[in-house]
Amino acid sequence: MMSAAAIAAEVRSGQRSARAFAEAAIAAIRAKDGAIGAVTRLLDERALAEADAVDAIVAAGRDPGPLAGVPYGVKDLFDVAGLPTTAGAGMRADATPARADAEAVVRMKAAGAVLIATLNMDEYAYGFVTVNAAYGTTRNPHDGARLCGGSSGGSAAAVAAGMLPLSLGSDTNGSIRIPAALTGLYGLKPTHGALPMAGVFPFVESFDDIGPFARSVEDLRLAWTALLNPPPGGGGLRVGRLDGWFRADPDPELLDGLDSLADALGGGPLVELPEVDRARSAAFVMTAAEGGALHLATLRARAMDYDPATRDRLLAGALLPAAHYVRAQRFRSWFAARAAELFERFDVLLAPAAPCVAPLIDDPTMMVGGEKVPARANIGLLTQPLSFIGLPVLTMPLLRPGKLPLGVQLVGKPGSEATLFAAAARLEAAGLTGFSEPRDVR
Amino acid sequence: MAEDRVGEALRISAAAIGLALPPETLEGVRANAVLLEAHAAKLADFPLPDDPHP
Repeated sequence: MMSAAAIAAEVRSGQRSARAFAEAAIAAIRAKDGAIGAVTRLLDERALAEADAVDAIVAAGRDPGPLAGVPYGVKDLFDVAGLPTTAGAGMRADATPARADAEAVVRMKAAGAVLIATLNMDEYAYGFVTVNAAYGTTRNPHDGARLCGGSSGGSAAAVAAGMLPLSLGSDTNGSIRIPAALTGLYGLKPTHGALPMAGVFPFVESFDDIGPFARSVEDLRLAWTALLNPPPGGGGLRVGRLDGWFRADPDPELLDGLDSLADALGGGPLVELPEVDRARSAAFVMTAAEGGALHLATLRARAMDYDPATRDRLLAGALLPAAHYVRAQRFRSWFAARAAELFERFDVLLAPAAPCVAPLIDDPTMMVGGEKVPARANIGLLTQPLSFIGLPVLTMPLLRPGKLPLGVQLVGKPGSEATLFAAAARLEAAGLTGFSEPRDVR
Repeated sequence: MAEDRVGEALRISAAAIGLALPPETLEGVRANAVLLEAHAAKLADFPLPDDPHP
């Protein structure tokens, strides 16, 4: 699979047409997705029309945009004009079609990108596994017996499997960072509120964000730039490694790799963000409460039409006392202030993303505190406390060809995406992070 | 017996906000409610500097 940057360069120069790249992406999906299950709807007619429009701009000698002819897909919660926005719910398969594209899709189109497909997810984005009762299980391209992570699992698997060079997903508690980590991709959860949520089906509006997946820092930055023009980065980096909660359980190979990244950025002391365990609890409480509130009317009318795994959590959330939600909100303010104090001393903080390699689909468990626990409920234990306070996070794959992926989070203060991209580019150039081709794509 | 009381309490709470809990949901809702209470308890135990005095 060519990179997004290389595709755009060829299309912009007229060397190859956007239509040719769209056709190649459609063919790749038809050849590979049967074994992966990432794609829910192939938008071939729309894709070819968008590609032809890009080619017409090139032929007219005008600028087709920085993502000219780059095929991409979107998680099934972005509005696509003329289609129902399912949000991964079987009960929404016949929902009223969206009247317009989501704002993010509009911006990608303006940059020349070509929308090819919609992609699988956990129902209503409430999960970390992309095991969906209505639309099937999305498998990890590195090992088809393993989870690809979620809830943006289709977005990650489509890129890791080489069907698409870019995709968009959303992240509330780790739904970009967990699948990026488990499939060996780069993923960006931006500062809360930095990217437009118009036309995106919500989950927990206090910390929902959208962001891109890619195989390289350059491609990730291209997508980010298309979605929002960031200010240029620069200057020296003050790096810290998050200690305590963040280093208690992860795979030792992951911690060794993370330490090597810190060394490559000039070294970084271990630093403590206090009460991370409670921050995760507060994120759980707010997620359940806001999710339950969002779905209350539908739960009243048709609770049994939900995926059972989603339904029971939403029902419990709807029954949660308001006092718990208010307490979690107040704790959140306190915790955000502690993080802000840390960012007075550091520009970038390093932490593991998922604590382990992708769990098996048939035995979705992981080790926490020496005990085997369900991965579905726990794999986001290192991502939740960070998105909970709206921090931007760029997830990077450690470079380990032939092995299952392990991911690291680069965490910045709000608005510092340019700094994160600069640090990620240095680590990729040093050969410490990077995408490795899956061994299990058939 | 205690579990039955929890289930009944959940059903009553749900009914108060217009939700019916079919029998097949009770076990899952109860497990999730217990988990959420455990998380909420961790927050209740933590003193915040601006806590109002009762």
